[in-house]
Amino acid sequence: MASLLGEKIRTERKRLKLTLEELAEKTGSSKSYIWELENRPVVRPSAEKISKISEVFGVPVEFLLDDAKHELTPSDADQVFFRRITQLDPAKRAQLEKFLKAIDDE
Amino acid sequence: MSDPTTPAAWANQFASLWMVCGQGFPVDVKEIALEVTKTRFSDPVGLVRAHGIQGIDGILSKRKRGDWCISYDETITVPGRINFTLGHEFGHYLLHRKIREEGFQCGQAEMLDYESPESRKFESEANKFASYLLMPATDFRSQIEGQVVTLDLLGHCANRYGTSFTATALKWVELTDQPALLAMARDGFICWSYPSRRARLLRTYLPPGTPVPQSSLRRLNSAADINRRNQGSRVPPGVWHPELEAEEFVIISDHFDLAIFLVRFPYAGMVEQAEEKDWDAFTFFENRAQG
Repeated sequence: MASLLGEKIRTERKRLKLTLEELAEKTGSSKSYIWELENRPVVRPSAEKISKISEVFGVPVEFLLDDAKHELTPSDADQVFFRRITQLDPAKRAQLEKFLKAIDDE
Repeated sequence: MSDPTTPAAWANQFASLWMVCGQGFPVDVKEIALEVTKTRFSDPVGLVRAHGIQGIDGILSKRKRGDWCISYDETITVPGRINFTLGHEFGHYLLHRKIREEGFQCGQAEMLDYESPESRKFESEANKFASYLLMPATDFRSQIEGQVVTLDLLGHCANRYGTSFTATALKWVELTDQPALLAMARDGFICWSYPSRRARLLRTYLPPGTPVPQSSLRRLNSAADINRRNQGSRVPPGVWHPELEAEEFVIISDHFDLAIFLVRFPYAGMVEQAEEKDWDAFTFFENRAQG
């Protein structure tokens, strides 16, 4: 299971239509290192590597590193099990709140 | 009768009940969850319905009135994925709801964090429950016994149980007596591999991050081969195993641009794998006495 950072790197790489080799070359890494970064949560990249990658993507370093999880209200958080959340953006969170409210009244 | 404690025991209990009642396959998780829990638990599953939020496969949530709701993403088009999701969430209900209620302190951040050990344990238990409930071993064996594995055979099982190809192939590897390996790859590297019992004895395992063999990648990229549904490709020794020739099937997975390799080692039988015999003390001394 990839980490959020890994997903972001992979999404950006695909958006720019770069292969693993191309991104590896541009950031002075090996192909397998970039793959590990995208697919293996255990890999913790150095600050220097992250800054090189964000430079290639043309995004701020914070974009890659901001793993802040969106907080739900405690009442929801107490009672919900999730399965495979790719990323809960504010819009989805609002949808979820709405859905949980609706089923309470059903 | 006390409740089971493991994912497999819970699943076997419900699968047996389903089959004893003469119900056919696929197992209807929704019906079981609603019907069985209302007579058995004070906090039953009271509602199973689609939630309309893309990106969240399934949710188990508690309602104010005290019962539970299983909700799922109805837009998933892959056959079998929704069924598996329902089984998975039902597994969470049976195995984990009490942990939360007894004050299991786990913030939302951790629940969303798939890397936390707690979360991974829950997920893997829920998957195991779904797999055992939807594909009961006795029935699965009766479908595959004495047959050479082909993509059609796995497709038949996937249809029968209403499960995805990946889940079905994993079950086949789990139950088969043959040496075989299932490997999931992405971008030319192995994400995970799962050897069958006999393949483990042959030390067949590829750790995550292992490059996919070049010849296999070439086959993967050639559409013609992929369409040869029931003919595996013969692969020389040194590719999937240092000494063994293999037969390789490749399937483009149903989501996330993954490729699945199903690899058999049909000639492994020629290599005798002697397992050490368990001797009890009596046999040991008797043999020693006889020299």
